[in-house]
Amino acid sequence: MSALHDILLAPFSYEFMRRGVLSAFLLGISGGLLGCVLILRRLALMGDALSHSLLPGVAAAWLLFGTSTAALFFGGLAAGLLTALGSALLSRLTRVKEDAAFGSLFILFFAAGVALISKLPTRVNLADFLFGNILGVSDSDLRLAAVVSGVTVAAFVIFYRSILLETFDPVFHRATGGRGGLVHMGFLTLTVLNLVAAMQTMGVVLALGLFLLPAVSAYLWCDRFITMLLMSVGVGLLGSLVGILVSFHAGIASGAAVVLCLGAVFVASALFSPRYGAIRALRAGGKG
Amino acid sequence: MRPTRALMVLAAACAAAAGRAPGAPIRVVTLSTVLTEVAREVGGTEVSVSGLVQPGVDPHEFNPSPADVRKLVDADLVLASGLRLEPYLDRVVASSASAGLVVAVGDRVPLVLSVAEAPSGAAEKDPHWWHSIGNMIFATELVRSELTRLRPASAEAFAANAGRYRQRLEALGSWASREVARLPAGRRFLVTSHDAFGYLAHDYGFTVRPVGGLSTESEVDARRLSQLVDFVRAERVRAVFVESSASPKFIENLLQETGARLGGTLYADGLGPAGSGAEDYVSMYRHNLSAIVGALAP
Repeated sequence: MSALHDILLAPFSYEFMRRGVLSAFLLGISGGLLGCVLILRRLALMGDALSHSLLPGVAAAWLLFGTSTAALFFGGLAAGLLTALGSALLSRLTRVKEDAAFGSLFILFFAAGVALISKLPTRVNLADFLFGNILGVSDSDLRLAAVVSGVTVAAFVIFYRSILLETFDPVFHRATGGRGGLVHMGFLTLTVLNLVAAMQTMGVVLALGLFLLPAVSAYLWCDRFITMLLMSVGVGLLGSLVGILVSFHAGIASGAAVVLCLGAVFVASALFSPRYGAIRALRAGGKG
Repeated sequence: MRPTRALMVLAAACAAAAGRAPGAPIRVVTLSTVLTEVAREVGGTEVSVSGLVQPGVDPHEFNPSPADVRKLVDADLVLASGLRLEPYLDRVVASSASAGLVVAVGDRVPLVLSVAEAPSGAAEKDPHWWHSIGNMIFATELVRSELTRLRPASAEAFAANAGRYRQRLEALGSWASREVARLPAGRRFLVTSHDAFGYLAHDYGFTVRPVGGLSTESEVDARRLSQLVDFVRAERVRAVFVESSASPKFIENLLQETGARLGGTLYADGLGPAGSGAEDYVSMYRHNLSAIVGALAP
């Protein structure tokens, strides 16, 4: 009993551990939901692109308004939305397709951000931006994560039908009067919101891990959208908890530990899923 | 014919390098705000110093722009912090063949500390050498001898300037010893954002417990942070410190968790911008030490 207590509970006698895991839980819930739509709509790499494009907004916000969470939030939000809207406009007004527009704009934004922080006295640190400080979660970071998570869950509950249709059958959705473009932009906005909230704690690269890995693991097990959503959230929560505990006991950087745990679930799912796993495919291939 | 021609080109290049107008100032380029000051103080009117790393910019994050590299290549003397604080320097030097001009001051100072970085256990040299006044006095002497080598005619002026600067450093040293004497040995704890004050700690018998490693970029894990919380509680450390160029978030959480006070903002990685109260070495050092002693004293 006492060994179990030492492994599972004692670490959470520290406030920073409770805060870290709480922020990972909050973002794991919203990120798990978002991730499912991202991977089903083949937007996983777009999430990656969006995440990097936040940097100049954050750096500029720091220069203008200092270290307040609100300023960094709106700075990142502005940069992310500019990238998303800019790519949508470019793909509609020019010959460039949306993925190429996204790929070009995000790298442009990222470079602008690197230029800003390399020359100007900001306290924005590239390593913090990419990998975060999940053990340095402040009250305002937690509030932000709670609000964003709440908004995301509410959006999924209220617009569940539109999201479902737009994800699986966008042509039908639009034919039956659905506002596909609006759902798409709303969805991009939600992604940016979550990335910005997660940036403060996990860093954008690890945040993306928290969004995508549970979703893609769930995709390997589930056929129904609703079970996939639930399992994705569950994997996100479990991976966050185990990851932070591993970080505590083994002395590994915490954000990385969370993503590695989620990655282990993904690899195991990819190998052993009874219907969609690699081993089953190989066996079936061997027999046939 | 060809070797001769190559030799002629080489000779011309050498002549161009050596034959700058004799009255023109020596062009010194520095990669550290502290060394910018040393070069200006020692060189006086005989040098024009260009500091590539601006005050307030984190040198762990700095990367030279092409304009910076051009200044490096054109310089008569390049002063770097050394001890791997400028990992890009070797590449720049290799690609521009100006190795003879570069003096990595930290690689030559008498006191070099090593830190066992937690995960690998391998010892790594601490690049923040300027927080030891003894090293600063050595650096002043080194810059004097380099400038004298470049312009022997001004040897006396350099020696006089270096002597004056050295006196200021020595006065600072005795002030610092008196200040620290107010702190009983049991209160000499230095908890900071990253591992930048090893030299100061070495000089005055502090125990340093940083949140992060030697670089502001090093990652933090939960075990290390929990041990730090335990340490601050067990030793009843009264105050912990944030740094001007590192993320304050861990320290802020540490304050909430342990009930320690915020001791102030320290300048770990170089001088502060104009108007910060730490814009020159003496005021930077005084600012840091006053904050530390003031926050920890009984």
